[in-house]
Amino acid sequence: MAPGSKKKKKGVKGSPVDKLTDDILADIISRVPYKSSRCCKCVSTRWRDLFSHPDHRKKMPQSIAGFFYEDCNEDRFPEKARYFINVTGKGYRLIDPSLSFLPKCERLDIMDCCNGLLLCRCWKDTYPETVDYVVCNPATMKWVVVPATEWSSKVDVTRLGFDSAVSAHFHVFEFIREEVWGIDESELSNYGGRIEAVATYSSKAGVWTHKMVKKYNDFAIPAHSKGAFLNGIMHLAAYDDMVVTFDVKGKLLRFIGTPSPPYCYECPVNDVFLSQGQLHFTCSTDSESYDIISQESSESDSSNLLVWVLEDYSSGKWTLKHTVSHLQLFRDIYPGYPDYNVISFHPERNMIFIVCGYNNTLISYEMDCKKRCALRQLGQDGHEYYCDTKKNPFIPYVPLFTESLVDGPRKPI
Amino acid sequence: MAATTADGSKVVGGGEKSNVDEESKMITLFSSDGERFEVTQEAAAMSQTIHHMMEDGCVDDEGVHLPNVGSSILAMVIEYCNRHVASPDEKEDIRSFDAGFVNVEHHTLFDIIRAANYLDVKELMDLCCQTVADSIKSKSVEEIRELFGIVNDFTPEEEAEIRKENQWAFE
Repeated sequence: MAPGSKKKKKGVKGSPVDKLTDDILADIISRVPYKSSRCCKCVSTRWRDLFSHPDHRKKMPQSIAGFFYEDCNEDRFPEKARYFINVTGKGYRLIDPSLSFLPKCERLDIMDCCNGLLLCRCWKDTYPETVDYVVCNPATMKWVVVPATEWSSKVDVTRLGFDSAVSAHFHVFEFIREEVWGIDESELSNYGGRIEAVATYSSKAGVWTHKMVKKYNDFAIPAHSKGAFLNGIMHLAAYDDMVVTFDVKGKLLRFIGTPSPPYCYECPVNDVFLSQGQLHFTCSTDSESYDIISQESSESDSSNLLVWVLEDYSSGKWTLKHTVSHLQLFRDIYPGYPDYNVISFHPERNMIFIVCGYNNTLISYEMDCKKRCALRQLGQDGHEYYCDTKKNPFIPYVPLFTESLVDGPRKPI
Repeated sequence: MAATTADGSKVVGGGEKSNVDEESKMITLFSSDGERFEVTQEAAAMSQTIHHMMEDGCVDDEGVHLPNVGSSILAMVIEYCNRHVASPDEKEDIRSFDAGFVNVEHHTLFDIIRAANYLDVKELMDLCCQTVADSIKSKSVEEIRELFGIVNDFTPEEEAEIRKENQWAFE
């Protein structure tokens, strides 16, 4: 380990890297994958300081910076409040949750976040209420209006597909239930909440199109179900233990069954997540059932969280990646097995984020070294409003500092 | 291939075009050590710096002086530009040319990067910076230091802190 002295040793040639300016060195480092950039940070003080330098830090590969979420307290003004919490649980929030750079709305809902862009639904002060969508980049404060469809004020599942590595253009998906589509009550299918049509908007084309969901393809999507946009395909967890997948035209591609414990009718639908380029899924097992999936019978009072990864995408076969006991996840925070919600996977690491218990404690759990960190207690508000069937959507955010988004004139609402 | 003309200046040939072709007007570049290079305007225009000078009418009959670029490096940059304007559509050939082009030792590669930066030749910058990035991306901290001869100048406390923060990335 080198001592702190900065004197060059006699006879040692300077590194060729010394002849590169900081701008150029930052350009080079910006091209390595995120994980490798973490190694770069540790090479020398010069390399480390690039990551915190105001001119260069935004070029560096980014990863999850924090979460947007809302809570609800009838005793408070305002009743509903929006937060941004840093991924460390500490420090001044990276993003101003007010999103005040956006045009004024009666009310703003954040619907989704994908690779640095937010999809928001902006309620206008009209009677009856009308909406517009706004797609924005909180890091650059740029935004663009996406005109609403006739269903926009009534759909509860609308998601954003965007990947700046592939294209500067984004796609908005609306999943339209039968009732919203306008199917007569007497004609509704037996499958409650069945999605009748998928409307998609391409920022390149600037128009909405829609595709009907073919008969006998029955599925319904919970309002909170997180979108995972991978290789131009939108994946969402649906009811009845499956993931539904769509292309950017709204065509249903396939159903992927998810490994879920049997006999759990009241369980909320677990989300599907993207991490390290693969789809991941979590579910819990409790001590009372014979654990068919992991082929173990629990002898003690241990119940577990199982982490699955879809290693073989084409076959739809999930691999059990990791098992951790609830005891280990929640020890010293809550006694026993609190209500909890896996809200995110780290996009680049084997790490999950969970919000648990009556205090909505945010914790991270690192699978490789089995390390759990309690990051912050988010408070008790919102438990009546959000419950098992209506999960509080914590929206993970990865900043995008490059200017590639939403070129084109800002359109007023 | 360089041929020395009667007046001693080097003419670095630009692909298949003959110098008689009226459209490929030549422009003279001077390296920092005074060597003279004749290139087609088309090749020279790959450098945004030179391109802007040509557009702004700042290039006189004498040519362009490049005090920041030595002759050996300038020759290489010109070779790159000539190759890329000559047959821009032959992707396979260009790819293999590029691969051979960057296969030089780091001191030279970084000199090319600095020249490409000064001359603002975006494609060459991308090629070279990506090459360096590719050589970094699979390496550990120690391997990166060794590759470039970088001295670890962290204090023991700084080193411990930064390693702890990024331990997960060390495989």
